[in-house]
Amino acid sequence: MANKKVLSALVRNHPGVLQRVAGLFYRRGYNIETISACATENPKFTRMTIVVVTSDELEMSQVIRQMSKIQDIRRIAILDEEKAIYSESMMVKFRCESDRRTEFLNLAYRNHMNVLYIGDSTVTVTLTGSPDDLDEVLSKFGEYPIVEMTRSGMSAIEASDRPFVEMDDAEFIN
Amino acid sequence: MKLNGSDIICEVLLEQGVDTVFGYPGGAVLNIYDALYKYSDRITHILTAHEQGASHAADGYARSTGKTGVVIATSGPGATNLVTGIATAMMDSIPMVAITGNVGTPALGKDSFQEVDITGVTMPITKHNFLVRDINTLAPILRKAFLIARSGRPGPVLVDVPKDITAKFAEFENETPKKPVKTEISSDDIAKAVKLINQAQRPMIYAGGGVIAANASDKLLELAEKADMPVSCSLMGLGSFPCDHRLYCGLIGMHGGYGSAMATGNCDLMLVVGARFSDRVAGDAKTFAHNAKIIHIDIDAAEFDKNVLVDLTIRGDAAQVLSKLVEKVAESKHTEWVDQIHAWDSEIHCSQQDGDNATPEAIFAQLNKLMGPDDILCTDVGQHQMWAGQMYHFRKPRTFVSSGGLGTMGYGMGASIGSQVGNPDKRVVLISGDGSFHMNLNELTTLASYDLPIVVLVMNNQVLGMVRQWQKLFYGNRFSHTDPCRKTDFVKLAEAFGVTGMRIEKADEIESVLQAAFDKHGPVVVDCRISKDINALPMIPPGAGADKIITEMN
Repeated sequence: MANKKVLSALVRNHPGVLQRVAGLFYRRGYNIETISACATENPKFTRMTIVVVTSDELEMSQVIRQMSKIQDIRRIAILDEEKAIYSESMMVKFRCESDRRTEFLNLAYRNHMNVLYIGDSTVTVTLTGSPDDLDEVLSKFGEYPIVEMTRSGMSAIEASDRPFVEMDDAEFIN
Repeated sequence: MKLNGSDIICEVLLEQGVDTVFGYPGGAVLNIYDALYKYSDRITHILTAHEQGASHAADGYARSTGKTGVVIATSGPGATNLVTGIATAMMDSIPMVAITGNVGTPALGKDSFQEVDITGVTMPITKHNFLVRDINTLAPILRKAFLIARSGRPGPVLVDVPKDITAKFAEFENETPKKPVKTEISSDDIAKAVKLINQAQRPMIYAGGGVIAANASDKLLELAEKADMPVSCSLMGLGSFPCDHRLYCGLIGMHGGYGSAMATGNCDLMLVVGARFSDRVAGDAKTFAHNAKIIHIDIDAAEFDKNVLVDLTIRGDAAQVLSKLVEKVAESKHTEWVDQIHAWDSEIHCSQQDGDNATPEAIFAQLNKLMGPDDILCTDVGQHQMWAGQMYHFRKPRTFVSSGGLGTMGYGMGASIGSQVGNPDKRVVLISGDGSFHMNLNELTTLASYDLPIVVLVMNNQVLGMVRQWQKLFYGNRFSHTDPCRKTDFVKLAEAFGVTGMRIEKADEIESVLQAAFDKHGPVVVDCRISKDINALPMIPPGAGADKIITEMN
């Protein structure tokens, strides 16, 4: 049974950290479904949200334990699905000839998309939501072929009043 | 005070208690070597023939002394030549700091002469690595490198220092080295372990390199004696328990004894200390010690349930965990069980004779007479290494220096140099094979330059014996490239390097030649001619259990 978990890691904002994480997953044969990383409110830290698929709980605990050994990773935890809020953004360029444009735009607005660019025969839109929401909305556009698409990968945060993981930069050199 | 980067490197080395480094100069480390010239009264630099030799020397120095080994190499090829040595140290959890030069920061990323992204290259084979881009971070990074190398599960750390950083000045103040923080040990886990040990009828201990890394051999002996638990060692654990003790069961795993293998299958409790259930020990991870409750003690939580699922894990320093266990376990006796294991051992016979010719068995028998309990045995990798594991009399920790995890042929020459430099008053013997020896025999020149009194015994069977043994067992005697038909005369070779060369062919020459080699008190190579059909036995084939043990071949 495949086992999917969302990991939230607070890592040192430093060149090479992504390579260390990606290298570990490659080396040990773990599967990353998505990974997203960006600096946080504290410039010394990057937060990574990694969606990991493992064969079982044991492999998942190995992933966490092996990741914990990377010196640049300060905190790492599995987000509790019940308590987490997920968000992902996507940009999609749909094929849409001018005679169907109005119809398309109505559908896009009904689904809370923002229109970014209207070309001769395409419309580019963006949407933010949970990965499931994005999938669901996409399914409604079946009659408009997708020319190009990009998704950011999931980012997640705990739905609570306190930070999920505390930042502690005491031992950082840089 | 303001110091340049190279002086800062030397100052931090001294601050960290380093008085010996191994290395090889080059363009990018000219400034560092200029500082080493200045600091030569306080830091001894050992120049090897090749950076690989220096990396193994730093590793052998660390294993035999317990201190952190330090190696210095230049950028590009100097740095990449360290790779095998760093990977060897990583696999066996050896504390090492490698300092590499690199091209100046403005030239980084431009494919400059002798530039290589060594932090990228060594990312998977170091515990951590650093590229120093700012002179003000040099000292903190070096201190952190030493702290990481010796904290928790030790390992190699690489610090890449661009040439301009070694010349720039920064404010420097000496600091007292930070002590690694010890992990808190759960008293609940200790209580559970004590209960399991007290209940066991047929307990055993599987001891690994972690016992030696944690300096826990005394505690291991105390626990084994108090709870009357027999002890088997992984290759990395050899020396952690005295071989002449009634509770000692010898090597465990692929080339371990029948007693160890049968005990593994029949014990009702296995206490694993600082070991990681490698495939060379737990050939079949699913059935390993399947009748036993397993307690796993390790400093690295990532080793828990990685290869073999266990019943109880205790995270912590092996010496601390063992001393808590010693305090709490009940005294008991398992005489019948211990006798049974020794009886299993005597059920199989693997003695391999060869008429009046010298044999590994006879050579080790004589070596055991000549070597004192504190003397150091280094090995390369192959059949000779397994013969050492099976036949050498291990008595104390840090007296066996061998590449276990990575299985690095060519490791021994450098490792013996490091062991001898770190232990000038101890006898150092290197057991090698003609295959391994050919890989890094260039380091004979280092033995001669520094007059290191290392005795190198080359188990010369003219073939790549271990691979050939597998070709016999699993590849229908198709000896693909394991019989290289080399014409090297090791006696003449040694002499060309300025090292004494000797030869043993017949069994009756062993005693006198080894004695003469030991009496030289200088570097000696002994070409030990042995049959290519003496194998490393017993052997449990990969993935199999004790019932498949091989005791004779050919």
